[in-house]
Amino acid sequence: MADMVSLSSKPRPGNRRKRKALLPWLYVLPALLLTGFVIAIPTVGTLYISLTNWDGIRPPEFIGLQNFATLIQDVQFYKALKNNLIWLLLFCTIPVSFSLIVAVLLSRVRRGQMFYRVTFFLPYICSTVVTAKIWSWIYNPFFGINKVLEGWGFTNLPLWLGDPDKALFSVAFVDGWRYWGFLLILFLTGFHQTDRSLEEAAMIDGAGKLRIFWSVIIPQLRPTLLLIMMMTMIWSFAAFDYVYVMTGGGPGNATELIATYMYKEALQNQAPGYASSIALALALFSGIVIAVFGYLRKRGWEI
Amino acid sequence: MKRATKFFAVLLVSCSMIAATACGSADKGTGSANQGQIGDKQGVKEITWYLHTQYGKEYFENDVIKPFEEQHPDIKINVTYNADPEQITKSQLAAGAGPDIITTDGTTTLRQFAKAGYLVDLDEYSKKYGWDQRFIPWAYPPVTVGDKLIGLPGKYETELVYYNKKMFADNGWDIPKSYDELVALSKKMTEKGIIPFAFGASDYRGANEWWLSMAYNATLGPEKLKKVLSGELPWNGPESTEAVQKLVDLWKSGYINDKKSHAITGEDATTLFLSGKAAMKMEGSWLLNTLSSKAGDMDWGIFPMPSWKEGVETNLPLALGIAYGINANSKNPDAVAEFLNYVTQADVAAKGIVAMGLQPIKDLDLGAIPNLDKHYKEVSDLLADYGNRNATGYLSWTFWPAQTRVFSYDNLEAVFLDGMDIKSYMDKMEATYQEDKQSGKVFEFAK
Repeated sequence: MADMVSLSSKPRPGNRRKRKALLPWLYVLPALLLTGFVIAIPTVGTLYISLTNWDGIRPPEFIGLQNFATLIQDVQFYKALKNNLIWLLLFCTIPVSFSLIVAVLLSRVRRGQMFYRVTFFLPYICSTVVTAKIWSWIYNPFFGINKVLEGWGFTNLPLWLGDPDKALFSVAFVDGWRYWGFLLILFLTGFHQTDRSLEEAAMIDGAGKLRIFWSVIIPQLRPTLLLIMMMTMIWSFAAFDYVYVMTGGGPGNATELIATYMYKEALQNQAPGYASSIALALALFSGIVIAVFGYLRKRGWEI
Repeated sequence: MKRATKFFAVLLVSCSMIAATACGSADKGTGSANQGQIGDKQGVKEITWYLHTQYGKEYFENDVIKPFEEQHPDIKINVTYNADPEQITKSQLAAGAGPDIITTDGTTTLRQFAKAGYLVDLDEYSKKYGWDQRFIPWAYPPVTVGDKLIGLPGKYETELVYYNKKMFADNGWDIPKSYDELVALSKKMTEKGIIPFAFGASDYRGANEWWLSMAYNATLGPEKLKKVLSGELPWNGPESTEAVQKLVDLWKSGYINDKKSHAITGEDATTLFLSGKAAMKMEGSWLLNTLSSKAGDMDWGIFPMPSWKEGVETNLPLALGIAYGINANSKNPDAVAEFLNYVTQADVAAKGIVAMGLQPIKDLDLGAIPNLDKHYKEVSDLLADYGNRNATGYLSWTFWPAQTRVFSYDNLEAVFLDGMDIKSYMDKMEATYQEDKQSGKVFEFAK
């Protein structure tokens, strides 16, 4: 009997392995359940609704792929997509390169670095609506920056939010102004993980500052850089808040993005079914970005 | 399929509730909305009601709910304040839930709710409480579907021209009586460096429909506009095109906020008017509240927008800004009716004139309201006069079909800015109207 007890109480190596494998899943279970509830289930719901004609009031009517057929021919959707691609291009270049350059310069600052970090990061933690409102006042042609510039003798000043050719860039500038401080912090964190002795070695070998930047710093920052590029691309497709608050997609739909167009279709135009098909298209674009980076990772790129 | 529909509807409700609570914009007043859905406690009938965070909170809490609950200890009103109660109500009704009292901005959505079977038919209550005699005659058709009363009008709105009286007097300007006179006056103002009409829509593109509604009513007149709204005349016909063309001409001439209305907010435009940089402001009667509290010493007045076409009589376009209904799933429809009866009584409604706006209730004695700005009486008298003469038109947020309305205001700026030509705009509007007609969203006027 004693042998039996000792045998049964002694965990078998197989069970221990199973338990060990199960334990991490138990830890992440609450997060998984929450994610399932707020992301997976609504995603399935969106998939279903995109196949229906629904005004949000009467029961949805199943119409198959008709919403997607409409989407393919929707001129407004292509306008919004074009704006999103411009947005993506702007954000993947200007804030990224600017924050990288400032991060390199700031990493050389010995005294007061924290002050600069806090100052540059501050816009990122300010409320989007508040900063968007403040910038709307700055852009106001009757009370804002134009009035100041007119006082200094400037004429023919642009209508920042009112000119269809400039409005998207004006709003993107504000979002970029908020965003670059965040990227700066990420780059500075990346710098802390780089091997400074390599820079010293390169310097001893006679490399110039530019050469060190391209051949020593950038390769070491590649994981951070790729992560930033992936995040920026995905967020560029999901951009919504600044456009919604500052222009509402106008003037004349000049700043319409896919997300604002989706919002309008769902809530103003009473077409949640069609809006869901737009949402899926948006998810597809983000999915492509993730897939590309996944492929690069498989090819040995570090992310 | 039905199961799936139900599942996703419930899912949407869950999501909307999460959004409502997570965003922090929901502000609970006298209790939780969900409590009322659970049931009555100790014989007290709990009624749920969703209201806008933005306006009327003090009025509803102190002048409506508190005295009502004192008079009816067996009824408790649980209010949830939210930035967009209509949207939450919409998704909840689709899932077979929703608050007991259905409140909508205007009647377009309320009528859709009624057609979907979400509302209680109010005819019996109307007989019991005398609602069929309570409101001004104009207010009944928007809350009637078929022959049945499906809601009660909460407040009504018109559009007017607000003007700087002193500026007019100093410059010897007269109130225009026609489109030509309006254009001539605007020209004079522009030459003096004054913006004729202050207007801003960068924060709310929907504001463009105020001007569009006005253009249609002033150019076509109520009868022809009714034909357009009923589909008897096309939206891309010469009558409608003329209305839009006249509006575009005004805008392109710089008479509407110096061609910068799309670059400033509505609040900025009000500031331009109050600071004397603009001589007039065309807006809804809700502006009375702002001007009466913010204009200070400024001497301002109102006049109806003159007719934009010879042979068309000047009219006041109308809309219902708020309407109430009873949820068909309410456990206490009688208690809700009792409450709605209280809300729409002349003495109770009168207290809400400043906070909520003009109420389409007969026998409303504005003179009895202490410290009421004189302009409210002026507008009320105008409305009575135009109403008696049947010279009232149709504002878009009550009478225009949903998608046509959204298309019209969402693309008007593109026409202003030459991003879309008028013909394409009108053709697309007609196509959108036909879609609305097919989905039964067109307002059915009584024959």
